Amino acid sequence: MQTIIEIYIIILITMSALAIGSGRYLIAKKLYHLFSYILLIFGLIIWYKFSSENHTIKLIKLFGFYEILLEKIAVIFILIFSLLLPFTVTYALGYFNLLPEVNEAKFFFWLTASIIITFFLALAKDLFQTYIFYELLTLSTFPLVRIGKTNEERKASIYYLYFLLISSIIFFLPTIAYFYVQLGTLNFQNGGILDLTKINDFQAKFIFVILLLGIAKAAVFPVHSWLVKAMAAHAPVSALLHAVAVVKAGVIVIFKISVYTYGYKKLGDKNLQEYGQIIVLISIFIVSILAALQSSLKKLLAYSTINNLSICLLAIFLANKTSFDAALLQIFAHSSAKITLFFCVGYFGLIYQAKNINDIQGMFYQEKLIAFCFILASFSIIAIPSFLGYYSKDLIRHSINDFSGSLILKNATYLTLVFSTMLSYFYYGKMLVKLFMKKISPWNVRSKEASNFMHYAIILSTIIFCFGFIKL
Amino acid sequence: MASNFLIVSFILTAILPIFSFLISKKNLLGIYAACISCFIVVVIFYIYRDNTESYVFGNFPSFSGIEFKFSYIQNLSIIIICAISIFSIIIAPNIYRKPKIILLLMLNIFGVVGLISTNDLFNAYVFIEISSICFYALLSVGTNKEVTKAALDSLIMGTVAATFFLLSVFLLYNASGSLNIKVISENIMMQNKIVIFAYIFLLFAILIKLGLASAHQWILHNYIHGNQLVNILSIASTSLGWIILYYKIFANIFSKLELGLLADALLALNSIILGVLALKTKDMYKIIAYSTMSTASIVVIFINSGIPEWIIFALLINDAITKVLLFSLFSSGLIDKKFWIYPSILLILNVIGIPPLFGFFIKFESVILAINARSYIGIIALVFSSAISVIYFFNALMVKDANNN
Repeated sequence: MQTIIEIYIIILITMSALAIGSGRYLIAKKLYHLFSYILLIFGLIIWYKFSSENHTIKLIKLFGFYEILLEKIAVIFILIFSLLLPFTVTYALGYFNLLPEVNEAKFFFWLTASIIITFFLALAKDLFQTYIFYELLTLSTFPLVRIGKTNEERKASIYYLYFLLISSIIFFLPTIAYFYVQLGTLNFQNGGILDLTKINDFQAKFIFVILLLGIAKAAVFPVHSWLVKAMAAHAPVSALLHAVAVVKAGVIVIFKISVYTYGYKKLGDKNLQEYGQIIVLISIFIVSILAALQSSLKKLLAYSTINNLSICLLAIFLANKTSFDAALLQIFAHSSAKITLFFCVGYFGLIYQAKNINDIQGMFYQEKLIAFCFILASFSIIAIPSFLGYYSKDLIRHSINDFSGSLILKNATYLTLVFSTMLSYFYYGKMLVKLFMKKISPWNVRSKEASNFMHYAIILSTIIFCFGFIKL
Repeated sequence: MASNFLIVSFILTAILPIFSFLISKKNLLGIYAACISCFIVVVIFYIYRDNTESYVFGNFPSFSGIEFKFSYIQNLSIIIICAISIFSIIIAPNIYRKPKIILLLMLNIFGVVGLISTNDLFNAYVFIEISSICFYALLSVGTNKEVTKAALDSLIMGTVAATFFLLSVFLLYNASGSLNIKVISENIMMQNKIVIFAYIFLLFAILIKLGLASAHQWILHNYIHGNQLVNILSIASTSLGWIILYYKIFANIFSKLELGLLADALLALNSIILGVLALKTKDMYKIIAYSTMSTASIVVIFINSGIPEWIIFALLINDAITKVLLFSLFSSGLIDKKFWIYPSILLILNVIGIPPLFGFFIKFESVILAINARSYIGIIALVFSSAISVIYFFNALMVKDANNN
């Protein structure tokens, strides 16, 4: 296993070198593309090997000096971005071909850097390493948000940087320091390190709320606004980073803290997540309403992402055996469907200058394949049976049944989830109806050259969530 | 006996340039570099020996004799200050490499090093004056009217600060009958109300010198109108010198004083107000000034709460070196070249305390030690000022970047 992970890292480093060369040499760009698919294979091998070893948690020393913690959450996360990175690269090759003003080499370099950092963040063996990679992820994605160098992107990138850095400095860092002083260690351990004789119940509950604010990458209301602003970035950036790597990194950090710092059993038995769960429910409620009010396609997707991230967190906070798997499946299902939606919206925006819901009116008749993929991805997000999104939501429903907390919180969780699903039917339905309506004015079409790569990427990403009925 | 070498080399750093200046007025830069280098070598030797050296002039008892003390941390600070002074003269434009200016620079460093190493309070006041007078003279170099005004402002405020310091020394002498820090700490009665007033005067002195939220304009003028040489000295030597002096006095004399939260709360408020004021500007010189003042307040809180000496100086030294380099990048015009944006980003991230840079580890450690010392006000001030510094530093950098583009 150690060798496979080392090879995975070497491939990533090679990719970053190729990315630098891709601006000058075509062969470097082609090799970069090829390596991204090789990475996918290694991502699958890591997942397969880990599954065949019965998901045993273990510390591994990489290259003889750097220790990582191999466990289920990290492996699933690595699987997710290994699967989706090559599609993003394929999509970006087509997308940036139509935008010669964007520095493609810079994009690929920072994309790879972000993935390397995400990889180490997922495998961090303690909270200290987690914090270091968490901050580095913010810095490495900052140039991606402003890759187009438009004024809007510049402003969005600054907001992005300020928001994520400040929230982590104010809330996340002091919490880690507090844990260290009280518990004497920051290591992730099976069963958790939390000692309730040193940190009392109330403090533990309160710290959870502070962590939710500090780990703003998980984009829980009210620390969600950076994600909406970051939508000014180009579609490939929004797709991989703001639907998968960055936001899911936030969720994964909270997940790991719940399982390996608090201890999942302790969390469930003592209801230490109670306050956090209330915040997440409020977040789902408010963000669902905000999503329904949006007319911009990307902003709607952003709010939908925030909503789904909160649902992932909700699943984590239910803290029972079913909820653990439900949360992982929800992360996987949402990532694969949302990246497809971003790909489609990016395609509509680039080729047809469609930015708002009204702009995609009649798109089905113009772009049947892309519109079809868009519809399928929407079905997965709103949990139509046979799509992956349905199975994850169904598992969450089961885990609410097993929830051991107060009855009021249990009922509130049910109601909020139903409310959110109803509203997601509404706002996704609004978009889908528009696709089938007849367009009156003529299309303002940009050159469709070199968009084949975009088609392939959209189809490939669609395949993943369409086969949700196959049990992994 | 061993400490004689140290004290002789220290005195030579002041005497040699004066004689050279009087005799030849040429090649003073070489003598300056040689003196400082020799001094650094001697100090490094003492750091290597890893012990505290104490020297009493003429072997008089400490009541009347002047005691100098060179501890590990003080030696390290002396090296940093000397190195920065050499750096400042190397990067200064040719017009500042005149014998008179170098002599002033040398005496300024002599004053600051004396301030750091002396254990006698009145002697400290003398060194304050030596370094300050040289500083005002250095500041007034130039043809600009504003420079003269800034020097005059500095003179007035510096004198006010020194007067408060002298008042504090007077009260301590009154209460203990000595000027030696060690003897004062042994003789003084903490119940004596004079001690509280002595502390208040000392706090005023240091706050005026390092930046009080309501009276900081003169420091801003220094940074805006002063030359590069003076500002680099100001960032490094003034802050380090005064804070080390404060540390020595507080740790030995006032640490047993029950101050309550008032002093810390005021200092934290001072730091936060300075941080907020920095948000209003996009001028990097002003921002560095505000940030340095804000950090000084936080460091004083940490000293008051008794967190270990090494972390206080690590915080100070990291801050000083990073800001000197940042200031140099901006004042030398290198920042106008696109490449130099990247090193300046690294420096800014280091000041803010973003991993994996050195500044992060120092801030993380200081938060841990502050939690242990229950200095929650200090933590709030540190965290808030770090968070707010993200905004003001990047605001200034983005303006520069936009101009470059």
